[in-house]
Amino acid sequence: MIDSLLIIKIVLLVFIAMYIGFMIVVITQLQRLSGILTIPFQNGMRVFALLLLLLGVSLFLLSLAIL
Amino acid sequence: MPDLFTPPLEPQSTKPPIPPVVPVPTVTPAKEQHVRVFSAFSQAPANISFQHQKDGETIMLFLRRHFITNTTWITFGVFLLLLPFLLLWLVSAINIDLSFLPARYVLLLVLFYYLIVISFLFTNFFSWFYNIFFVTNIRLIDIDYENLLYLDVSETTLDRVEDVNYKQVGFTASFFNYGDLTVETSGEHQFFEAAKIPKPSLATRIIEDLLVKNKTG
Repeated sequence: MIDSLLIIKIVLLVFIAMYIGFMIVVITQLQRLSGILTIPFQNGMRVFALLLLLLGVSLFLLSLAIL
Repeated sequence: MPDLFTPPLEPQSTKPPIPPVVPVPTVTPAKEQHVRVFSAFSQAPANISFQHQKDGETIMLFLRRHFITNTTWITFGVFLLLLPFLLLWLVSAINIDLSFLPARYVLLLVLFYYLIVISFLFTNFFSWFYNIFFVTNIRLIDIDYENLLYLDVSETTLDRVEDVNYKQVGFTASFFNYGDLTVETSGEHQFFEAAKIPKPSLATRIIEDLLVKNKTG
């Protein structure tokens, strides 16, 4: 039983780490696109993407702490 | 009675006859509009600009896909948001024993699941938001953003444009008045396509009008 929980924990941590990498790519693309053109709500998109990245990092740390 | 004196004929003008003036269909100049978050068609938008914009270059037309084309991923996203409740009901209905999974694991799995779903919605919105086609008084710029790893920015000047046409296929395209606008050019990038844009006939007329103005100077 303990082994299956350990597997779940490792899988969850790996997926959250992948998610963090994905969000970093999204933010990089947003930076590139905001260099190309200026349109309304661009900053809102960046803030939202950063928020999602922070949530991912928080979830990763929380998983490390409580699992 | 025979004429005693006939005046010499005046030399005929060698200038070619002036062709009759054919009225060119023009689109009435629109008031400046502001592009908003969900704008998909904006004529002469005042609040956008782009890199390498020249002095005196103004954006005449700003186009994105019609918002109704996002229905598929929005519906799927809503389904994904409701899926855990459905699974919870299913688990209690079938009496599946999940007691081996501690509550903190369930909490983190659910949190991560919702983070993924929100990111799915965000990235789909993001790819709609940055798929932009705009026309200035000098050139056409097409930004194709398909996914995170595909970004294509292409542009051409208006004097290279050879043909502008559009097509509307299907019931929803006719009902919501959207279609595909295609611009053929003589350059290397031969086709510029703005897919599923609203009011494609008006957009075509605006571009044609710009082409006429560009040719006549």
